[in-house]
Amino acid sequence: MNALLVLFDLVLLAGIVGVAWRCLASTDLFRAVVLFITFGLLLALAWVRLEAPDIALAEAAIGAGITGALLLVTLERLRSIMAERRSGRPHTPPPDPAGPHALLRALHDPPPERRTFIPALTFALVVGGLLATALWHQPQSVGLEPVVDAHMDVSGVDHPVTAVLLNFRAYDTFLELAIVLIALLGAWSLGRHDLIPARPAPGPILPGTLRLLVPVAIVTGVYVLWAGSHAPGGAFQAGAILGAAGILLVLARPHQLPMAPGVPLRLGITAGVALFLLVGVYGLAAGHGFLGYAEAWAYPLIILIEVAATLSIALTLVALFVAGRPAGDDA
Amino acid sequence: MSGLAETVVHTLAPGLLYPTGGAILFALGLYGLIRRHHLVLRILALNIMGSGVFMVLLGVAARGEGPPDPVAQALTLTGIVVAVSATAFALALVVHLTRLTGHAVMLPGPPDDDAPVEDISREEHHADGGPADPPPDEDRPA
Repeated sequence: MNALLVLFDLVLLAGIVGVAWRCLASTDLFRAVVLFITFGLLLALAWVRLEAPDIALAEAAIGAGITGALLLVTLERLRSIMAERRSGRPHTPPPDPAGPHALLRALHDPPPERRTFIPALTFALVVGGLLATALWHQPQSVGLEPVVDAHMDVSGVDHPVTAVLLNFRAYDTFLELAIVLIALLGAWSLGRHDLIPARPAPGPILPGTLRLLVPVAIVTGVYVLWAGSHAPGGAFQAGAILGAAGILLVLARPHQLPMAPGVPLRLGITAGVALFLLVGVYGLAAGHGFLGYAEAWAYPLIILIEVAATLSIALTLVALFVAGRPAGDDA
Repeated sequence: MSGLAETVVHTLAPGLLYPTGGAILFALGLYGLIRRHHLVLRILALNIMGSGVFMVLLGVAARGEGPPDPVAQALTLTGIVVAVSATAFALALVVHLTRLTGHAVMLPGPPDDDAPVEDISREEHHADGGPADPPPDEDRPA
């Protein structure tokens, strides 16, 4: 046991818990969101320490990156809605003489009341204590690692996590893609999207940077997707990187969103689930069971599903960021 | 002395340290979820609880000799993607709620005059050109 590593673990955990605490104790929502993004990045470091580079990649790209962008755009939306409600009504009182700061204050949460302190603290301590005690007394187990290891040669890929995600436990991944799709349908069911309340940055710097960044993001995304078959990486991380590139493009032109025609967009968003289902039903018909593959076909089928899943995840993440059904689409 | 040192070393192994950290994060998120009222903060609290669960899963997966359990890692990866989808949908609901009621705060106690249903009717009333009621208290700058 390396003393330095133990010290690193302790400092990292103290940092993670401290940042989470500051985030939840913050009365300013913007501050809370920035702390939450920091929390995600620190978590990615912890996942590396726990020998989970796949999760670290996903956490940095999805947990910190995409979730952070979603949270920030939500704050901006809330701010603009509140400003509109204040100024847009003839009978509402005029805006506070304090000016824009009054609007900023709308995104504050007052400190919680005293009377919830003791019950909440007791409840959290009891639940956390029980959880920790149960984990401490859990019997030592090697888990499913030997089983996965023994079947790697029939999985079609060389990376255990990808083998579990797209072969051994493909059903989980299929349902996961379905949940992503359902979340988007839920967001779309709330109505048309309004413009992202972002001010387009003046000057050539943002478009210039994007012209450099987006191709790099696309190459990185495709590499991460390809690498997933033999090294950490795969459809989710690649989808998140491509989705981030898409969000940057949307942010660069917030007021002239290219209104994607409904059908191609919908096809792209459902491609992952549809192809997965198709392969699953084919496996059932061919006698390998639902979502089972013939050994020789495992690799090409996994790659095919991963490409479709990457496309769907990237498009869905951008669509969730924009929020709301595409305008001019009455289907 | 060596017995004590061994116990300390055993306790500080990542396989125990990180699950304990995960339990602390879960409890912290639960505490924030109960105490805070703004819905965005409550979504953050839920996400922190989820991260605690991921930390427990990955910490337990890294226990013992040899490579970590890939099944637990795959489950966590699935969990992260599901968490971001659920968060995005929840945030869309918060924006919609704010559009309807003018605030995104869930206050304890029985629903009062600021109930969303009343606000919707108020909105329609206003659209007809009639006089709009004054906004609820949360709407007014403090």
